[in-house]
Amino acid sequence: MKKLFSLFFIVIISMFVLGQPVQASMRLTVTSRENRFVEGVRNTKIVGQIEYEGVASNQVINYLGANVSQYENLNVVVGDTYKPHDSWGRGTIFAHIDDVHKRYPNYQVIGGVNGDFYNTSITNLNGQPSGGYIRNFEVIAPGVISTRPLAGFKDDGSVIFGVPCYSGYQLLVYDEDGALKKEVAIERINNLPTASDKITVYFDNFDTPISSAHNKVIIDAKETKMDGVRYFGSGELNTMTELDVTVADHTFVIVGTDFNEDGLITDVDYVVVQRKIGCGFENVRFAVGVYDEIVTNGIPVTYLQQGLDPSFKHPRTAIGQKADGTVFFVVVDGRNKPLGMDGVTLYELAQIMVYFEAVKAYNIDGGGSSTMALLNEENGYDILNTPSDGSVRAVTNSVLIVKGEHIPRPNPVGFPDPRIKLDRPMNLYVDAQGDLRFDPIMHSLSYMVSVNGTLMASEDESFTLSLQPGEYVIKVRALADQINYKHSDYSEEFVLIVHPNEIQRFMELLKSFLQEEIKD
Amino acid sequence: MTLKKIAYVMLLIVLFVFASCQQDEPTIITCADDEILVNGICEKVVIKTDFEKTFDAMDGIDNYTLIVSIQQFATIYEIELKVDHEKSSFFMDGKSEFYQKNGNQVDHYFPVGEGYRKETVSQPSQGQPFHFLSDLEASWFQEVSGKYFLKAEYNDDVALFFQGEFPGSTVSNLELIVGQTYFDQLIFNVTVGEVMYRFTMTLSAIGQTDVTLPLV
Repeated sequence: MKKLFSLFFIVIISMFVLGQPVQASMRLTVTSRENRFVEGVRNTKIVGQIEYEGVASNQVINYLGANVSQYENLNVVVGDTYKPHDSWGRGTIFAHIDDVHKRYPNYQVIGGVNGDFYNTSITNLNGQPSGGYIRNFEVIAPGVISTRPLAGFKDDGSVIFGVPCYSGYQLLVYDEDGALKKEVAIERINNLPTASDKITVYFDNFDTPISSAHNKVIIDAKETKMDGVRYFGSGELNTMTELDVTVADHTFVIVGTDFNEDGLITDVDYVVVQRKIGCGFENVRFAVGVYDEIVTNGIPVTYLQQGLDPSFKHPRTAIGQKADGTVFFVVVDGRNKPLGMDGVTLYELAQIMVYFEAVKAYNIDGGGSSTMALLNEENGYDILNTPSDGSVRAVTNSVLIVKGEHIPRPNPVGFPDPRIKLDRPMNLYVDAQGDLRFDPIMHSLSYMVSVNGTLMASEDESFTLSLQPGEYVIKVRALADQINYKHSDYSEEFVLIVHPNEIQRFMELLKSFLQEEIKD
Repeated sequence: MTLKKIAYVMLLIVLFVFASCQQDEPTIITCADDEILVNGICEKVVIKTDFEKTFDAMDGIDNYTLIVSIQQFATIYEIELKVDHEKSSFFMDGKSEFYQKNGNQVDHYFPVGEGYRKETVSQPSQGQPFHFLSDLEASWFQEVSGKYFLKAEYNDDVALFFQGEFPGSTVSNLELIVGQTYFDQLIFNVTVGEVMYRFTMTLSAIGQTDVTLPLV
């Protein structure tokens, strides 16, 4: 009886233990740990040894993260060096950081990591990301592999991981303020519409003339991306015609019946042709393709059916999110055993992400691509890890934490636009104190001052200029509530030459002399 | 006999009258060689040189154009000043400003957008401490190899023009080039702190300068 009871007890215990999901654990022995904080972004470098499933290995692990959901001034963006037309292209993380700074003066990159996997062919698709890619709300790439998930970043600091869904193409027409005027479904690409209420779009990979009596709106493309299956285009109005046209290089043509006769697309508008994205990704400002989900609900994955060599040790990069909203990246060095950089399997990477409190995590491109950069005190960027190529590899894109708030996306205004456009400011001048002045505009809330293209807000009709010697082109527009009134056009340009301080004072002295000279 | 006496008396009277009507002997005034008799007074003959005559001509001119160029290292800034009696103008970098006397005040016209705007400002209460065109004196200059340079002891007088705006500034190496009637050019250095500025003031269109005020 006692034996029977013991056996029964063992069986129960065994069932209890074996019935639990397998959660292999990793043991991390830290040799050294260094923390750095830059503008609210934390970098932790751990040198040590991990032991997972009985296998010990030496590791150098870099963590970089920030709570972007809590701090409005910290955000996640993507950067790339894609060519505007005809091909994609690759760049180092440094080039991607430069790209972000050029595109968005409101951001300063603090740090980040390499992004998605990519096409390495030597054709014009070199650098094409494997997954989707969204840059400032534009679906630049819907993903070569449709099942690849994305990490998407919204303006409220939330992050969405998952596989987006696409439903055809859409034409988006934005006014000069970036407010959506109209969204029109595109029936198909490089083919004529099948009905009078439908539109299609031809790209410049269509070699033969478009022979039809349809209205054709020719767009000068700012950017096009195409691989014969997937298309993206953005640009501004060139002209409209009903004649046969051949699509010129770096243009695309919107074809329809009576299309744009009501002036939907004007000279100042900006149009985008892209795949219509859904499944939670509609309001994603930036997104980068990721691969395997390696942490789900805080549980590290222990078996993967896909993935690049999940059981082999490589340098790896991963992106994850904590329960408090913190977004973080991890780069584990590898292929460098003499320096204690053995690399990790995807399962070990998953364990490391859980070690850093990830509730959800995905691996992204690794191997020689694994790179992590951080802003240094000289406003340059340090590479925190040891890339296994011996140098920083040119990759398709990067995912970066930036300091700086997003420029709010204007609400859609509809078409035709019912709002009244404000008069544009006139009579610009700079007074003796060096302040810019102009005539007030009725119903304006404030003003936007552009000085050599740099935009600055002014609450009223007087704006203090603090300019170094040089030549400046200044223009001003009145800002409206955008509900009943819309922003004005920019004023005529005002050219201001600022001389060195002593020269300015000599000038004032001579002006005083002139006033004295007519005194008597 | 009585008649004879009467004749003698008459003769004496006539002689007396004649004698009293005779003028004094004239005083001969002899002036020195470098003097000239003016109203009976010998005055020194002042024979002015052409150089000196230009200073007389500059007195009271109120219609002229003055190009002021200021050189700082390799950069030259050029300013055109025009004075036309009660109007004046300042032109630099393609833009003009105008001044017009308005009683005790000055109307200032300045560019605004495509046109001009007028504001009335107070005239400077204190006059210029030094005037380049009327305060210089010929005796302040010395001729060196046919060129006229301001004597060093007068540099401080000229520097007064700048010292209100630039305390401690100094003027040096002022050269005056004169034309047939008026000054042509003033060339000098102004040192402010560690930096030296080369000024060249070129005078022209005296009596022919027209300042046309913009419409506002």
